[in-house]
Amino acid sequence: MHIHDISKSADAETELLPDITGTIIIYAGAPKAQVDVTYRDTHEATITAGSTHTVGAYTGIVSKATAKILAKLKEAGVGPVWEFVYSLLVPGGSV
Amino acid sequence: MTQRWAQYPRNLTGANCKLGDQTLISLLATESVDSDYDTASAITIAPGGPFQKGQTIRTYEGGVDTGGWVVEDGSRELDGSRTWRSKAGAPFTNVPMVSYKLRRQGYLAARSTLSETRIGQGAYPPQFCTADYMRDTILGDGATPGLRKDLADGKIDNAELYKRQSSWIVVQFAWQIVQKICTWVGLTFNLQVDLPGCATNYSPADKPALTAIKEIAAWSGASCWLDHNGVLQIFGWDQAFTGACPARPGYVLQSETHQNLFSPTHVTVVGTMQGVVWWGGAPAHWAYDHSGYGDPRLKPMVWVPKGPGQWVNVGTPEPCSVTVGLQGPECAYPVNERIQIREYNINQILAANVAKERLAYVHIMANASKWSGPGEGCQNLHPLTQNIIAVTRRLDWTGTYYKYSLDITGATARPTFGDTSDWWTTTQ
Repeated sequence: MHIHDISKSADAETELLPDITGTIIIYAGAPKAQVDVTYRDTHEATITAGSTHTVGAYTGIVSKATAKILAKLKEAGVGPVWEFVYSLLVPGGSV
Repeated sequence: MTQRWAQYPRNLTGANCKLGDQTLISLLATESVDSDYDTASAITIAPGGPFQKGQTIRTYEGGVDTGGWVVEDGSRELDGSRTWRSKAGAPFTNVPMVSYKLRRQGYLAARSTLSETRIGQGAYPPQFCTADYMRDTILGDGATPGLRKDLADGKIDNAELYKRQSSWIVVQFAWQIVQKICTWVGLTFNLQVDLPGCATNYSPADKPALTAIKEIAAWSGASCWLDHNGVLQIFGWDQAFTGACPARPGYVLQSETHQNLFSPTHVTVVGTMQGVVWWGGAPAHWAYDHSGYGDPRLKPMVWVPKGPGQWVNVGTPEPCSVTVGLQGPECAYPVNERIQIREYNINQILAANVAKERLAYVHIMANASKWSGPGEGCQNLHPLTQNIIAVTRRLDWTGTYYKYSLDITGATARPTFGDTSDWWTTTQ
Protein backbone atom coordinates (compact mmCIF):
# COMPACT_ATOMS: atom_id res chain seq x y z
CA MET A 1 0.00 0.00 0.00
CA HIS A 2 1.38 3.34 -1.04
CA ILE A 3 -0.25 6.57 -0.06
CA HIS A 4 -0.42 8.96 -2.99
CA ASP A 5 -2.41 11.88 -1.68
CA ILE A 6 -3.64 13.34 1.61
CA SER A 7 -6.08 16.21 1.95
CA LYS A 8 -7.23 17.51 5.37
CA SER A 9 -10.03 19.92 6.25
CA ALA A 10 -11.71 21.13 9.45
CA ASP A 11 -14.69 23.45 9.80
CA ALA A 12 -17.20 24.60 12.37
CA GLU A 13 -20.42 26.60 12.36
CA THR A 14 -19.87 30.03 13.86
CA GLU A 15 -22.24 32.60 15.20
CA LEU A 16 -21.80 36.01 16.72
CA LEU A 17 -23.44 36.74 20.06
CA PRO A 18 -23.50 39.91 22.14
CA ASP A 19 -21.60 39.96 25.39
CA ILE A 20 -22.09 41.85 28.62
CA THR A 21 -18.78 43.60 27.94
CA GLY A 22 -20.30 45.25 24.90
CA THR A 23 -18.19 43.34 22.42
CA ILE A 24 -19.43 40.73 20.00
CA ILE A 25 -18.00 37.28 20.62
CA ILE A 26 -17.60 34.46 18.12
CA TYR A 27 -19.06 31.19 19.22
CA ALA A 28 -18.17 28.05 17.28
CA GLY A 29 -20.29 24.97 17.11
CA ALA A 30 -20.63 21.67 15.27
CA PRO A 31 -16.89 21.20 14.63
CA LYS A 32 -15.98 18.72 11.93
CA ALA A 33 -12.59 17.42 10.72
CA GLN A 34 -12.06 15.33 7.64
CA VAL A 35 -9.11 13.71 5.97
CA ASP A 36 -9.16 12.34 2.42
CA VAL A 37 -6.52 9.71 1.80
CA THR A 38 -5.69 8.19 -1.58
CA TYR A 39 -3.60 5.06 -1.78
CA ARG A 40 -2.87 2.30 -4.26
CA ASP A 41 -2.59 -1.42 -3.74
CA THR A 42 -2.31 -4.53 -5.85
CA HIS A 43 -5.14 -6.28 -4.05
CA GLU A 44 -8.82 -5.68 -4.40
CA ALA A 45 -10.46 -4.91 -1.06
CA THR A 46 -14.02 -4.45 0.11
CA ILE A 47 -14.95 -0.86 0.93
CA THR A 48 -17.50 -0.04 3.63
CA ALA A 49 -19.04 3.33 4.55
CA GLY A 50 -20.01 4.29 8.06
CA SER A 51 -17.50 2.13 9.84
CA THR A 52 -14.27 3.01 11.56
CA HIS A 53 -11.33 2.61 9.29
CA THR A 54 -7.61 3.27 9.46
CA VAL A 55 -5.54 4.34 6.52
CA GLY A 56 -1.90 4.94 7.28
CA ALA A 57 -1.76 7.16 10.36
CA TYR A 58 -5.40 8.26 10.12
CA THR A 59 -8.42 6.66 11.76
CA GLY A 60 -11.98 7.91 11.37
CA ILE A 61 -15.50 7.14 10.29
CA VAL A 62 -15.72 6.44 6.58
CA SER A 63 -18.05 9.00 5.05
CA LYS A 64 -17.19 7.99 1.53
CA ALA A 65 -14.92 5.39 -0.05
CA THR A 66 -14.14 4.61 -3.68
CA ALA A 67 -12.05 1.89 -5.29
CA LYS A 68 -11.00 1.99 -8.91
CA ILE A 69 -8.95 -0.44 -10.94
CA LEU A 70 -6.09 1.05 -12.91
CA ALA A 71 -5.67 -1.74 -15.48
CA LYS A 72 -2.77 -0.21 -17.38
CA LEU A 73 -0.55 0.15 -14.33
CA LYS A 74 1.57 -2.33 -12.50
CA GLU A 75 3.35 -1.90 -9.23
CA ALA A 76 6.80 -3.52 -9.08
CA GLY A 77 5.66 -5.70 -11.93
CA VAL A 78 2.48 -6.78 -10.17
CA GLY A 79 -0.86 -5.83 -11.56
CA PRO A 80 -3.54 -4.76 -11.75
CA VAL A 81 -3.30 -1.77 -9.43
CA TRP A 82 -6.27 -0.59 -7.35
CA GLU A 83 -6.64 3.01 -6.25
CA PHE A 84 -8.62 3.61 -3.06
CA VAL A 85 -9.90 6.99 -1.90
CA TYR A 86 -11.18 7.22 1.67
CA SER A 87 -12.90 10.25 3.22
CA LEU A 88 -12.62 9.88 6.99
CA LEU A 89 -14.50 12.00 9.50
CA VAL A 90 -12.34 12.44 12.56
CA PRO A 91 -14.03 13.05 15.95
CA GLY A 92 -12.93 16.05 18.01
CA GLY A 93 -12.76 18.58 15.26
CA SER A 94 -9.05 18.31 14.61
CA VAL A 95 -6.94 16.07 12.43
CA MET B 1 -36.31 55.95 5.65
CA THR B 2 -34.43 52.71 5.30
CA GLN B 3 -31.11 54.44 5.92
CA ARG B 4 -32.40 56.11 9.07
CA TRP B 5 -33.79 52.82 10.26
CA ALA B 6 -30.42 51.17 9.73
CA GLN B 7 -28.68 53.79 11.82
CA TYR B 8 -30.65 53.03 14.92
CA PRO B 9 -29.30 49.70 16.16
CA ARG B 10 -25.69 50.86 16.24
CA ASN B 11 -25.96 52.13 19.79
CA LEU B 12 -27.30 48.85 21.09
CA THR B 13 -24.78 46.41 22.53
CA GLY B 14 -24.75 43.50 24.91
CA ALA B 15 -23.61 45.91 27.59
CA ASN B 16 -26.67 48.15 27.41
CA CYS B 17 -29.33 45.63 26.41
CA LYS B 18 -29.65 43.41 29.43
CA LEU B 19 -31.82 41.83 32.06
CA GLY B 20 -30.04 42.55 35.31
CA ASP B 21 -26.46 41.57 34.53
CA GLN B 22 -27.40 39.16 31.77
CA THR B 23 -27.10 40.11 28.11
CA LEU B 24 -30.35 39.97 26.19
CA ILE B 25 -30.56 37.86 23.07
CA SER B 26 -34.22 38.72 22.68
CA LEU B 27 -36.94 40.54 24.56
CA LEU B 28 -40.64 40.95 23.91
CA ALA B 29 -42.31 43.24 26.43
CA THR B 30 -45.97 44.19 26.41
CA GLU B 31 -47.28 46.93 28.64
CA SER B 32 -50.96 47.73 28.56
CA VAL B 33 -53.69 49.26 30.67
CA ASP B 34 -55.90 46.70 28.97
CA SER B 35 -54.42 43.82 30.98
CA ASP B 36 -53.93 43.26 34.68
CA TYR B 37 -50.17 42.81 34.46
CA ASP B 38 -47.51 43.73 31.92
CA THR B 39 -45.69 40.69 30.59
CA ALA B 40 -42.39 40.00 28.90
CA SER B 41 -40.45 37.06 27.56
CA ALA B 42 -36.69 37.17 27.28
CA ILE B 43 -33.73 35.02 26.32
CA THR B 44 -30.40 35.90 27.91
CA ILE B 45 -26.87 34.63 28.28
CA ALA B 46 -26.52 33.88 31.97
CA PRO B 47 -23.01 32.77 32.94
CA GLY B 48 -24.00 32.87 36.60
CA GLY B 49 -27.14 30.82 36.08
CA PRO B 50 -30.79 31.82 35.86
CA PHE B 51 -32.37 34.30 38.21
CA GLN B 52 -34.57 32.68 40.82
CA LYS B 53 -38.33 32.66 40.44
CA GLY B 54 -39.97 35.57 42.23
CA GLN B 55 -36.82 37.69 41.97
CA THR B 56 -37.31 41.25 40.74
CA ILE B 57 -34.91 42.19 37.94
CA ARG B 58 -34.75 45.34 35.81
CA THR B 59 -34.44 45.47 32.05
CA TYR B 60 -32.22 47.93 30.22
CA GLU B 61 -32.79 48.59 26.55
CA GLY B 62 -30.13 50.68 24.88
CA GLY B 63 -28.95 51.70 28.33
CA VAL B 64 -32.37 52.99 29.39
CA ASP B 65 -34.02 51.43 32.42
CA THR B 66 -37.36 50.03 31.26
CA GLY B 67 -38.57 48.82 34.60
CA GLY B 68 -38.58 45.96 37.03
CA TRP B 69 -39.91 42.50 36.32
CA VAL B 70 -40.71 39.52 38.50
CA VAL B 71 -39.33 36.22 37.27
CA GLU B 72 -42.29 33.93 36.73
CA ASP B 73 -40.27 31.19 35.08
CA GLY B 74 -36.61 30.90 34.16
CA SER B 75 -35.60 27.85 32.20
CA ARG B 76 -32.07 26.90 31.25
CA GLU B 77 -31.87 25.64 27.70
CA LEU B 78 -29.45 22.88 26.78
CA ASP B 79 -29.65 21.89 23.17
CA GLY B 80 -26.73 20.12 21.57
CA SER B 81 -27.06 21.66 18.16
CA ARG B 82 -27.97 25.13 19.41
CA THR B 83 -25.96 25.60 22.58
CA TRP B 84 -22.84 23.38 22.40
CA ARG B 85 -20.33 26.02 21.54
CA SER B 86 -16.76 27.15 21.93
CA LYS B 87 -16.68 30.72 23.17
CA ALA B 88 -13.89 32.64 21.49
CA GLY B 89 -11.77 29.53 21.08
CA ALA B 90 -12.18 28.24 24.61
CA PRO B 91 -13.02 24.58 25.17
CA PHE B 92 -16.52 23.53 24.16
CA THR B 93 -19.28 23.92 26.67
CA ASN B 94 -22.96 24.78 26.59
CA VAL B 95 -23.73 28.47 26.11
CA PRO B 96 -25.68 29.36 29.28
CA MET B 97 -28.88 30.47 27.55
CA VAL B 98 -31.87 31.10 29.76
CA SER B 99 -35.43 31.69 28.69
CA TYR B 100 -37.59 33.81 31.00
CA LYS B 101 -41.25 34.58 31.46
CA LEU B 102 -41.58 37.86 33.29
CA ARG B 103 -44.35 39.83 34.96
CA ARG B 104 -44.30 43.44 36.03
CA GLN B 105 -42.70 44.36 39.35
CA GLY B 106 -45.29 44.19 42.12
CA TYR B 107 -46.98 41.19 40.50
CA LEU B 108 -46.64 38.97 43.54
CA ALA B 109 -48.18 41.54 45.85
CA ALA B 110 -50.93 42.58 43.44
CA ARG B 111 -52.07 39.06 42.68
CA SER B 112 -52.09 37.91 46.30
CA THR B 113 -55.51 37.21 47.73
CA LEU B 114 -56.73 39.05 50.80
CA SER B 115 -56.85 35.89 52.83
CA GLU B 116 -56.47 35.22 56.52
CA THR B 117 -52.89 34.12 55.92
CA ARG B 118 -52.05 37.42 54.28
CA ILE B 119 -53.82 39.96 56.45
CA GLY B 120 -53.79 38.21 59.80
CA GLN B 121 -56.38 36.43 61.83
CA GLY B 122 -57.42 39.56 63.71
CA ALA B 123 -58.30 41.51 60.58
CA TYR B 124 -60.04 38.72 58.70
CA PRO B 125 -62.52 38.93 57.08
CA PRO B 126 -61.72 42.51 56.09
CA GLN B 127 -64.84 44.70 56.19
CA PHE B 128 -65.02 48.40 55.43
CA CYS B 129 -67.89 50.78 55.94
CA THR B 130 -68.59 54.48 56.10
CA ALA B 131 -69.28 56.24 59.40
CA ASP B 132 -72.89 56.80 58.31
CA TYR B 133 -73.36 53.13 57.57
CA MET B 134 -71.84 52.18 60.89
CA ARG B 135 -74.10 54.55 62.80
CA ASP B 136 -77.32 54.08 60.86
CA THR B 137 -77.24 50.50 59.66
CA ILE B 138 -74.83 48.43 61.71
CA LEU B 139 -75.52 50.01 65.07
CA GLY B 140 -78.97 51.49 64.45
CA ASP B 141 -80.59 53.75 66.99
CA GLY B 142 -82.21 51.17 69.20
CA ALA B 143 -85.53 51.40 67.36
CA THR B 144 -84.33 50.61 63.84
CA PRO B 145 -82.68 47.26 63.04
CA GLY B 146 -79.07 47.05 64.12
CA LEU B 147 -76.80 45.99 66.90
CA ARG B 148 -78.30 48.45 69.39
CA LYS B 149 -81.72 46.99 68.72
CA ASP B 150 -80.31 43.49 69.23
CA LEU B 151 -78.76 44.71 72.47
CA ALA B 152 -82.03 46.26 73.61
CA ASP B 153 -83.86 43.03 72.75
CA GLY B 154 -81.32 41.04 74.73
CA LYS B 155 -80.09 39.09 71.71
CA ILE B 156 -76.50 40.17 72.29
CA ASP B 157 -74.53 41.62 75.17
CA ASN B 158 -72.24 44.63 75.20
CA ALA B 159 -69.15 42.52 74.58
CA GLU B 160 -70.70 40.99 71.49
CA LEU B 161 -71.82 44.41 70.27
CA TYR B 162 -68.29 45.73 70.61
CA LYS B 163 -66.83 42.66 68.92
CA ARG B 164 -69.15 42.95 65.93
CA GLN B 165 -68.69 46.70 65.70
CA SER B 166 -64.92 46.47 65.83
CA SER B 167 -64.83 43.90 63.04
CA TRP B 168 -65.56 46.79 60.67
CA ILE B 169 -62.96 49.31 59.51
CA VAL B 170 -64.62 52.70 59.25
CA VAL B 171 -63.41 54.84 56.36
CA GLN B 172 -64.33 58.23 55.00
CA PHE B 173 -62.90 57.89 51.50
CA ALA B 174 -62.34 55.03 49.07
CA TRP B 175 -58.60 55.70 48.92
CA GLN B 176 -58.40 54.70 52.57
CA ILE B 177 -59.58 51.22 51.61
CA VAL B 178 -56.98 51.14 48.82
CA GLN B 179 -54.34 52.23 51.31
CA LYS B 180 -55.26 49.49 53.74
CA ILE B 181 -55.23 46.80 51.06
CA CYS B 182 -51.88 48.00 49.75
CA THR B 183 -50.46 47.90 53.27
CA TRP B 184 -51.67 44.34 53.73
CA VAL B 185 -50.01 43.09 50.55
CA GLY B 186 -47.01 45.44 50.46
CA LEU B 187 -47.86 47.54 47.42
CA THR B 188 -47.35 51.24 46.91
CA PHE B 189 -49.92 53.29 45.03
CA ASN B 190 -50.28 56.72 43.52
CA LEU B 191 -53.54 58.55 43.06
CA GLN B 192 -53.57 60.36 39.72
CA VAL B 193 -57.23 61.16 40.40
CA ASP B 194 -59.42 61.49 43.45
CA LEU B 195 -61.68 58.61 44.36
CA PRO B 196 -64.88 60.35 45.48
CA GLY B 197 -67.10 57.31 45.05
CA CYS B 198 -67.22 55.03 48.06
CA ALA B 199 -69.57 52.16 48.79
CA THR B 200 -71.16 52.28 52.21
CA ASN B 201 -69.98 48.75 52.98
CA TYR B 202 -67.43 46.56 51.27
CA SER B 203 -65.56 43.34 51.94
CA PRO B 204 -62.63 42.36 49.71
CA ALA B 205 -62.14 39.05 51.53
CA ASP B 206 -60.37 36.42 49.42
CA LYS B 207 -60.15 38.64 46.35
CA PRO B 208 -56.82 39.31 44.67
CA ALA B 209 -55.58 42.70 45.82
CA LEU B 210 -55.54 44.09 42.29
CA THR B 211 -59.09 42.92 41.62
CA ALA B 212 -60.32 44.58 44.79
CA ILE B 213 -58.53 47.84 44.04
CA LYS B 214 -59.84 47.91 40.48
CA GLU B 215 -63.32 47.42 41.88
CA ILE B 216 -62.87 50.26 44.35
CA ALA B 217 -61.42 52.55 41.66
CA ALA B 218 -64.39 51.77 39.42
CA TRP B 219 -66.71 53.37 42.00
CA SER B 220 -65.20 56.64 40.83
CA GLY B 221 -64.93 55.69 37.16
CA ALA B 222 -61.20 55.03 37.55
CA SER B 223 -58.90 52.08 36.99
CA CYS B 224 -55.31 51.15 37.81
CA TRP B 225 -52.09 49.96 36.22
CA LEU B 226 -48.80 48.73 37.70
CA ASP B 227 -46.09 51.05 36.43
CA HIS B 228 -42.41 50.30 35.66
CA ASN B 229 -41.50 50.45 39.34
CA GLY B 230 -44.37 48.33 40.56
CA VAL B 231 -46.30 51.35 41.82
CA LEU B 232 -50.03 51.01 41.34
CA GLN B 233 -51.10 54.06 39.36
CA ILE B 234 -54.76 54.82 39.92
CA PHE B 235 -55.98 56.82 36.95
CA GLY B 236 -59.17 58.16 35.47
CA TRP B 237 -59.85 57.28 31.86
CA ASP B 238 -60.94 60.89 31.22
CA GLN B 239 -57.80 62.27 32.79
CA ALA B 240 -55.38 59.85 31.15
CA PHE B 241 -56.88 59.87 27.67
CA THR B 242 -57.56 63.42 26.59
CA GLY B 243 -58.18 62.81 22.91
CA ALA B 244 -54.96 64.60 21.94
CA CYS B 245 -52.66 62.95 19.43
CA PRO B 246 -50.91 60.00 21.09
CA ALA B 247 -47.11 59.75 21.19
CA ARG B 248 -45.54 58.01 18.21
CA PRO B 249 -42.18 56.46 17.37
CA GLY B 250 -39.49 58.78 16.01
CA TYR B 251 -40.09 57.32 12.58
CA VAL B 252 -43.40 55.73 11.81
CA LEU B 253 -42.88 52.70 9.61
CA GLN B 254 -46.38 51.32 9.87
CA SER B 255 -49.69 52.57 11.19
CA GLU B 256 -53.26 51.48 11.60
CA THR B 257 -56.06 53.87 12.48
CA HIS B 258 -59.28 52.48 13.83
CA GLN B 259 -62.74 53.71 14.64
CA ASN B 260 -64.73 50.70 15.71
CA LEU B 261 -68.35 50.37 16.65
CA PHE B 262 -68.92 50.37 20.37
CA SER B 263 -69.91 47.11 21.93
CA PRO B 264 -71.60 47.53 24.29
CA THR B 265 -73.12 50.97 23.72
CA HIS B 266 -74.87 51.02 27.09
CA VAL B 267 -74.10 49.59 30.50
CA THR B 268 -76.65 49.02 33.22
CA VAL B 269 -75.46 48.61 36.76
CA VAL B 270 -77.91 47.07 39.17
CA GLY B 271 -77.62 46.47 42.85
CA THR B 272 -79.16 47.41 46.14
CA MET B 273 -79.09 50.50 48.32
CA GLN B 274 -78.94 50.42 52.07
CA GLY B 275 -77.52 52.91 54.47
CA VAL B 276 -77.58 55.43 51.65
CA VAL B 277 -78.09 59.02 52.69
CA TRP B 278 -80.67 60.89 50.61
CA TRP B 279 -80.47 64.67 50.52
CA GLY B 280 -83.56 66.73 49.77
CA GLY B 281 -87.23 65.98 50.14
CA ALA B 282 -88.56 62.70 51.39
CA PRO B 283 -88.09 59.87 48.88
CA ALA B 284 -91.23 59.06 46.88
CA HIS B 285 -92.02 55.84 48.63
CA TRP B 286 -91.67 57.38 52.06
CA ALA B 287 -95.44 57.75 52.47
CA TYR B 288 -96.30 54.10 52.29
CA ASP B 289 -93.69 53.22 54.81
CA HIS B 290 -94.27 56.10 57.16
CA SER B 291 -96.94 54.26 59.12
CA GLY B 292 -94.44 51.62 60.04
CA TYR B 293 -91.86 54.00 61.40
CA GLY B 294 -90.91 53.09 64.89
CA ASP B 295 -92.14 49.54 64.59
CA PRO B 296 -90.09 47.50 62.15
CA ARG B 297 -92.41 44.53 62.59
CA LEU B 298 -95.17 46.28 60.66
CA LYS B 299 -93.19 47.35 57.61
CA PRO B 300 -89.58 47.15 56.56
CA MET B 301 -87.82 50.34 57.56
CA VAL B 302 -86.89 52.17 54.44
CA TRP B 303 -86.25 55.89 54.86
CA VAL B 304 -85.63 57.38 58.26
CA PRO B 305 -85.15 61.11 58.88
CA LYS B 306 -81.52 61.71 59.62
CA GLY B 307 -81.27 65.48 59.86
CA PRO B 308 -82.56 68.59 58.15
CA GLY B 309 -83.29 67.60 54.56
CA GLN B 310 -81.65 64.20 54.99
CA TRP B 311 -83.02 60.70 55.01
CA VAL B 312 -81.20 57.46 55.47
CA ASN B 313 -82.15 54.14 53.97
CA VAL B 314 -82.03 51.37 56.55
CA GLY B 315 -83.53 47.93 56.98
CA THR B 316 -84.63 46.28 53.77
CA PRO B 317 -82.34 47.07 50.84
CA GLU B 318 -83.82 49.04 47.95
CA PRO B 319 -83.14 48.04 44.34
CA CYS B 320 -81.01 50.49 42.39
CA SER B 321 -80.46 50.51 38.67
CA VAL B 322 -78.55 53.00 36.50
CA THR B 323 -77.96 52.88 32.76
CA VAL B 324 -75.29 54.95 31.03
CA GLY B 325 -74.77 55.19 27.27
CA LEU B 326 -72.06 56.36 24.92
CA GLN B 327 -72.50 58.89 22.13
CA GLY B 328 -72.40 57.77 18.53
CA PRO B 329 -74.60 56.69 15.65
CA GLU B 330 -74.54 53.08 16.82
CA CYS B 331 -76.05 54.13 20.15
CA ALA B 332 -79.45 54.44 18.47
CA TYR B 333 -79.34 50.65 18.40
CA PRO B 334 -78.33 49.94 21.97
CA VAL B 335 -76.22 46.96 22.89
CA ASN B 336 -76.65 46.74 26.61
CA GLU B 337 -74.34 45.11 29.11
CA ARG B 338 -75.55 44.45 32.62
CA ILE B 339 -73.31 44.55 35.66
CA GLN B 340 -74.87 43.18 38.80
CA ILE B 341 -73.36 44.06 42.14
CA ARG B 342 -74.58 41.80 44.90
CA GLU B 343 -71.80 41.88 47.47
CA TYR B 344 -72.21 45.43 48.73
CA ASN B 345 -74.56 48.36 48.59
CA ILE B 346 -74.43 50.93 45.84
CA ASN B 347 -76.11 54.22 45.05
CA GLN B 348 -76.93 55.98 41.80
CA ILE B 349 -73.70 57.94 41.61
CA LEU B 350 -71.55 54.93 42.33
CA ALA B 351 -73.52 52.80 39.86
CA ALA B 352 -73.17 55.47 37.15
CA ASN B 353 -69.42 55.66 37.79
CA VAL B 354 -69.05 51.88 37.48
CA ALA B 355 -70.96 52.01 34.20
CA LYS B 356 -68.85 54.92 32.97
CA GLU B 357 -65.63 53.11 33.83
CA ARG B 358 -66.70 50.16 31.69
CA LEU B 359 -67.90 52.39 28.85
CA ALA B 360 -64.80 54.58 28.93
CA TYR B 361 -62.72 51.48 28.39
CA VAL B 362 -64.99 50.42 25.51
CA HIS B 363 -64.75 53.90 23.98
CA ILE B 364 -60.99 54.06 24.26
CA MET B 365 -60.42 50.61 22.82
CA ALA B 366 -62.79 51.39 19.94
CA ASN B 367 -60.69 54.45 19.10
CA ALA B 368 -57.33 52.74 19.49
CA SER B 369 -54.81 53.23 16.72
CA LYS B 370 -51.37 51.71 16.32
CA TRP B 371 -48.02 53.05 15.16
CA SER B 372 -44.87 51.00 14.67
CA GLY B 373 -41.28 52.10 14.34
CA PRO B 374 -37.77 51.91 15.77
CA GLY B 375 -37.67 51.50 19.51
CA GLU B 376 -34.56 53.49 20.31
CA GLY B 377 -35.40 56.85 21.80
CA CYS B 378 -38.86 55.62 22.83
CA GLN B 379 -37.89 53.56 25.85
CA ASN B 380 -39.59 55.94 28.25
CA LEU B 381 -42.97 55.76 26.56
CA HIS B 382 -45.41 53.67 28.50
CA PRO B 383 -49.15 53.45 29.07
CA LEU B 384 -50.85 56.48 30.63
CA THR B 385 -48.30 58.87 29.13
CA GLN B 386 -49.33 60.93 26.10
CA ASN B 387 -52.58 59.02 25.51
CA ILE B 388 -50.85 55.67 25.22
CA ILE B 389 -52.92 52.56 25.91
CA ALA B 390 -50.24 49.95 25.23
CA VAL B 391 -46.63 49.60 24.19
CA THR B 392 -44.99 46.49 22.77
CA ARG B 393 -41.21 46.51 22.44
CA ARG B 394 -39.23 43.89 20.55
CA LEU B 395 -35.49 43.49 20.83
CA ASP B 396 -33.88 40.75 18.77
CA TRP B 397 -30.27 39.85 18.09
CA THR B 398 -30.10 39.28 14.34
CA GLY B 399 -26.68 37.63 14.31
CA THR B 400 -24.67 40.79 13.85
CA TYR B 401 -26.74 43.57 15.47
CA TYR B 402 -29.86 44.19 17.52
CA LYS B 403 -33.12 44.93 15.82
CA TYR B 404 -35.25 47.04 18.10
CA SER B 405 -38.80 48.03 17.33
CA LEU B 406 -41.94 49.07 19.13
CA ASP B 407 -45.66 49.30 18.58
CA ILE B 408 -47.60 52.06 20.27
CA THR B 409 -51.34 51.76 20.69
CA GLY B 410 -52.90 55.09 21.52
CA ALA B 411 -56.39 56.46 22.07
CA THR B 412 -57.38 59.10 19.57
CA ALA B 413 -60.60 60.19 21.28
CA ARG B 414 -61.73 61.08 24.75
CA PRO B 415 -64.67 59.14 26.16
CA THR B 416 -67.95 61.02 25.94
CA PHE B 417 -71.18 59.83 27.43
CA GLY B 418 -74.70 60.30 26.20
CA ASP B 419 -77.84 59.62 28.12
CA THR B 420 -77.79 58.56 31.72
CA SER B 421 -80.99 57.23 33.12
CA ASP B 422 -81.67 55.94 36.54
CA TRP B 423 -84.70 54.98 38.42
CA TRP B 424 -85.70 53.84 41.82
CA THR B 425 -87.95 50.96 42.51
CA THR B 426 -89.42 49.80 45.74
CA THR B 427 -89.88 46.31 46.97
CA GLN B 428 -93.57 46.74 47.68
